[in-house]
Amino acid sequence: MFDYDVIILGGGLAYVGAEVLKNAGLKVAIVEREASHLGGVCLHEGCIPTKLYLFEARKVYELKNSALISQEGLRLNLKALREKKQRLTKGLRDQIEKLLKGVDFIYGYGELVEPHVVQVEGKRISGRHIIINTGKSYPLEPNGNHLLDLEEVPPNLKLAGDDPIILEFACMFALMGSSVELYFDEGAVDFMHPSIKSKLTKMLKDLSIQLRPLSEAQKDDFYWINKRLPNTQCLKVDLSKGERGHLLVDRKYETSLKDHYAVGDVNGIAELAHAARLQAISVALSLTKGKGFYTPSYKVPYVLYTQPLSYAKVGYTRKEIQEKGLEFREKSVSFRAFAVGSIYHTEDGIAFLYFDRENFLIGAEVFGRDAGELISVLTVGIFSQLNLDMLLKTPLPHPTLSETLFLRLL
Amino acid sequence: MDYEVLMPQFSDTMEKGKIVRWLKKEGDYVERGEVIAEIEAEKAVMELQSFKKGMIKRIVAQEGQEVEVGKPIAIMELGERVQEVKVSEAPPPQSTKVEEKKPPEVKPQVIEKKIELPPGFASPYARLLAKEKGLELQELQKEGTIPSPAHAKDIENYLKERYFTPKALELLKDYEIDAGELIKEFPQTKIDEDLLLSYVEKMGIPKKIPVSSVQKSLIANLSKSFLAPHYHIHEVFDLSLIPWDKEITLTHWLIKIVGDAMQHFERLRAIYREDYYLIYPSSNVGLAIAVGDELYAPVIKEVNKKGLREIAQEVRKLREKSEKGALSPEDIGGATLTISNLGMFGIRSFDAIIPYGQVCIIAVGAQDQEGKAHINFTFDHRVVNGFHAALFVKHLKEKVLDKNYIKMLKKGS
Repeated sequence: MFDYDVIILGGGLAYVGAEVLKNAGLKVAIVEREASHLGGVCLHEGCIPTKLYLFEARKVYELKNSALISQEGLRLNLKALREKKQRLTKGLRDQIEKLLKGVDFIYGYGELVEPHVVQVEGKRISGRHIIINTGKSYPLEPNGNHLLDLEEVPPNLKLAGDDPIILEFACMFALMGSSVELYFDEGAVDFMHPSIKSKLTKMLKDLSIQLRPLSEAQKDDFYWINKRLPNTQCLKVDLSKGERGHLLVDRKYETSLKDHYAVGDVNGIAELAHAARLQAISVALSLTKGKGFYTPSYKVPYVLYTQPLSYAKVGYTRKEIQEKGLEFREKSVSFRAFAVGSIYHTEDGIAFLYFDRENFLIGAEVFGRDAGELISVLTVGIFSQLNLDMLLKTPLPHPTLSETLFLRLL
Repeated sequence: MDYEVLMPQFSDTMEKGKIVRWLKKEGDYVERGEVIAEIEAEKAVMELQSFKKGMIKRIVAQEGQEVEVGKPIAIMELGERVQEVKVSEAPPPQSTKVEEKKPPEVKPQVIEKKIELPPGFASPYARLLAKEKGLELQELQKEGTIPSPAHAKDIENYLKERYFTPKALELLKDYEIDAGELIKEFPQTKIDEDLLLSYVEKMGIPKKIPVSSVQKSLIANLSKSFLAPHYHIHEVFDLSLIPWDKEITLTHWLIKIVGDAMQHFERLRAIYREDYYLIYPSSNVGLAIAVGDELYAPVIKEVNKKGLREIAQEVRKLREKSEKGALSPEDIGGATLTISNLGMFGIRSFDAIIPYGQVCIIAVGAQDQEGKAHINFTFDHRVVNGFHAALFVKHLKEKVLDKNYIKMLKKGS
């Protein structure tokens, strides 16, 4: 009756769900606009390439700023880096097709023209279940995508936008040696602990990033990193939408239309690749085993990969706890106090752990080198409902930054 | 006027209900439709609303108590709220006096109105608790950590359970320990497996092992069987001529020889019904197989028509099914006699209890150096009298020494 058991509209990270569906013997199709863009924003313009760029930029910065290593005329070959990015993403993209052997890849602009029916450039295919995985895009051009296609490090760079991700780009190019003007309102990072926010602002200043109000940004010669908007123009079927046009879903990620699911950025629950991955797997499990799972967004860790120090949070932030009016205890640890803080140049780093009245870990914010790695141990702590007593007794390897997180809990 | 609040019947099958919590106490004034208690029946917790307005004079059933449907759980004095009327009508000078008398229960109501309760499908008290503890009720319900609809008990359980590691929580089910008791014993501690086990050892708390449904039916049937009038015959058999090996074991041989013998004694193929016996044409022989705690007695049907090899194969298949717990009702029904062999464990001699509904069980002991073995028979006297039994046993003793018969069986296998 239907051409496919499941059609996934959009070839982003939710392809991980296709693997589960395929292995369960279901007939699956993935519709992706551009063959070369399989893997989505995460692989091509988001998580993966920005981490590659940030890692290389950090090397240059560290060698340049080391008091112990003398190195003249250090320069990052941006053209070569771009080529490396292309090789990397192409390789990973090809691996997806290999991994999903047996799934039909249909390349072309797909539209949900009526319930259960996707039309790809004139051709109609039907699916018993539809998973909408169309993601989001930057509203303005040029934007972050174009920054990753530059072949020379620009001497001057003007960035403007309201998405905190802009800070990653600002740091990336400042570390490479650009003089960066950043048109960004600090209010956008008010969710951070005030002391982390002031350390972050200081770090930007130390990198000679000139911070100006967003309202002063002009139209021309700017790169725009604004909050991305859900791609819903390809959905010709009436689906309930919420704030900023995100598709509304229930705890099973089902939209207002039965058998039509929405996962990833497009549902607006958490604009994070790791959340999208879990959502896709949850939908795949509920289609194959009848039971998925729901991850509350506050439990999904968030990382802002600024450099040299980055920010990460999981659970409730201090601001959220205060807004809820909860009684809580805050334990802070400053990395300056430890040998590793000095060895790994993270003296300005700090971590805050929040405990509820009964001493259960309910949230954490970290500002430090590789905060994204540090937050993992705290995420596990929150998921396994650890309390002060257990954290105190958990041995972590010495000397590491992770270890220090639990050294000031007494 | 006194009015009895009765245990309501929430469903057709509900016989009694347990008071989970009183939301009102003695002396409290209750409006019509106000929730006064949470009641658990048939594993669900429901709210009890008051049909009348008045004051709760006395609480008859306490929290945790089970009460039959239709029995009183509280006494109310019907009428308007007396004191409140006074407050509003009383002139200012008297107000201080009235305030002294003012029942304390008014306070929580006021607080409840002020607090914005968190969203989520839950009883008002549960939502109040969630609010107090700062829980994202709706999110936790979506995640499945707290059930929906939620009651105060669910919130309390959640708050207790987080003091245990997942493994310890699993382990807690094996012991009759109240989670709250442990939390009190080890305040501010995340209780893990090691801590729980050391507590269990210290307090000498026994481990609870559930009786499986298979065991339950076995226990019930054994008890019934044992009450049937029965007697034993103890004999020593010379089994030295039986050429058993790994492939076709002594048990397989005995199933065959006994099955053949049953053809000559119809009472051994009988089932007793008050007014008559049912005689099966074929010899259907059960075999006792133990798998861990479970005891199964799958049946080899029409033994008289089957060769030794066929029997051996069938026994193997039935044993595999028993181990997987995959025996069908057909696999275990229809036998009139069962064989139980403990000889392989070196047991010299033992008695067995007849499986319910059958007429005989044969308990086989270990073979000695000369190939002799104790074989004890238990018969249901209502079906097989001593005379029949003696003839049957005598026949068997002769058959195991009948060289030609044994040779024929071996050939036929």
